[in-house]
Amino acid sequence: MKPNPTLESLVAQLPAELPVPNALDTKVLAAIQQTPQIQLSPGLSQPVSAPSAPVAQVDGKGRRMMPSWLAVAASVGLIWLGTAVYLPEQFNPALSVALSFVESSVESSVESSVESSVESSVVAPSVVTSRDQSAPEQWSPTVPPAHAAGTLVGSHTTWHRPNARWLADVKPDIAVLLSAYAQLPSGFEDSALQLQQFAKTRQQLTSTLDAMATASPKVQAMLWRQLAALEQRERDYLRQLLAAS
Amino acid sequence: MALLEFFRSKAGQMAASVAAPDATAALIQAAQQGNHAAFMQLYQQHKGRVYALCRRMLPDDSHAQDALQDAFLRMWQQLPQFRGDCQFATWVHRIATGAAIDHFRRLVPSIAAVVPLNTTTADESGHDDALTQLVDAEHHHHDGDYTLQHTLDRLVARLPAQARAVFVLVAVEGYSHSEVAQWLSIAEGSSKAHYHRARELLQEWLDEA
Repeated sequence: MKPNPTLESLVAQLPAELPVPNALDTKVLAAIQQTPQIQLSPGLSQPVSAPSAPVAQVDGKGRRMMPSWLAVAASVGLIWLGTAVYLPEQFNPALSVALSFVESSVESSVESSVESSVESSVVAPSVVTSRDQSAPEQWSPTVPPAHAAGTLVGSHTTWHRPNARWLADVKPDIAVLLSAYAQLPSGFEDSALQLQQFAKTRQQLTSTLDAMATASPKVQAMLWRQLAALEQRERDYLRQLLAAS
Repeated sequence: MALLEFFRSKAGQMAASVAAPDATAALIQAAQQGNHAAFMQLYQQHKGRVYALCRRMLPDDSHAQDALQDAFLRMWQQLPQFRGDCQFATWVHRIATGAAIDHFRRLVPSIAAVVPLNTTTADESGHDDALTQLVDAEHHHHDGDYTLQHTLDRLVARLPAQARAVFVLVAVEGYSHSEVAQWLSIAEGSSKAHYHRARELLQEWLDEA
């Protein structure tokens, strides 16, 4: 009797693709034809095939840093889109501005940082699977790829940890959030206080992270997770407010 | 319609060989500028893999198709923001995973309400039949080993909803427990427990087979 193959070997042999019904092609085409793309402000896009000439700057240690003007400009564009796309006839500008922020620039900064921090602390070579398509040697050694954990292979890939550079991306948003919350109209006094509390807590967390730049990756990862959780609660609260307004 | 035929013929050519990086970059750039045809070519390149993920995560074809459509719609919307920091396939997969998980999270309360955690879903729903047919259709011309793969896909579809999602994301797609836990809004320990439970059940069923 032939021995049963291991579960791992069976999983590795699973087909990576499954056939898609042809009818879906029509649906997808129709859907994208009716849906506008979310464009960045003019001048902010860059060629896909030119990673060697990025918009992002690199500091003295070769770490990637997002210029503050880019963060601000991108956020302004996203706010404009947020108000244009998501809001119906009656909308509350201050809440919408805040929601756009929380959903875009802040979230991406926090997400990337949480990922890279968690990866640097908990990832193990044994979790690499055949499904990972990205070749490690093609990654920039200093830019955290915006994709799954569990793909670290070999010792030649240096992972970017959350640090002051990443925090710098998050901090300007706090000032804008506070300003947006302060502009809430009458009737939203309690909500404004609650939202300002969110922003202040976020400020405290980022300051703590800033001060703990040399702390262990696990501690930093924990703080980043707290920041992400806070951002989630803030976003949920904003959504509720928007729905109720 | 003629446009669709064009996409399909292009897809056939692309399936035969891996698209050259330059060609893909050109397609991405064109799609970023709003070119529907270019985007549909990218869709043809990636739809099979995205569908495999959605189909394994979700209980039936209908939900998987909705998730796939949603995933590619998100990609279309967000494509101008893709800056080439990672491979395009990785970016696609990341968005597809998000879409599949969103659909899963919408479904899971109803699934959990009907099916206790210690039971399997297949007997009640019969949903594994469709997946079986798909896998059969793809591999009927192969011999031997494919029977077991086909069996494994069927068995994965029989797993309890949460265990299936965790197993697919961790074992098949290669994500970490911490990431899966965050996505599914469960504790990391729960993710590991679901994964362990899924492995136990699968091993048990494989031994019986």
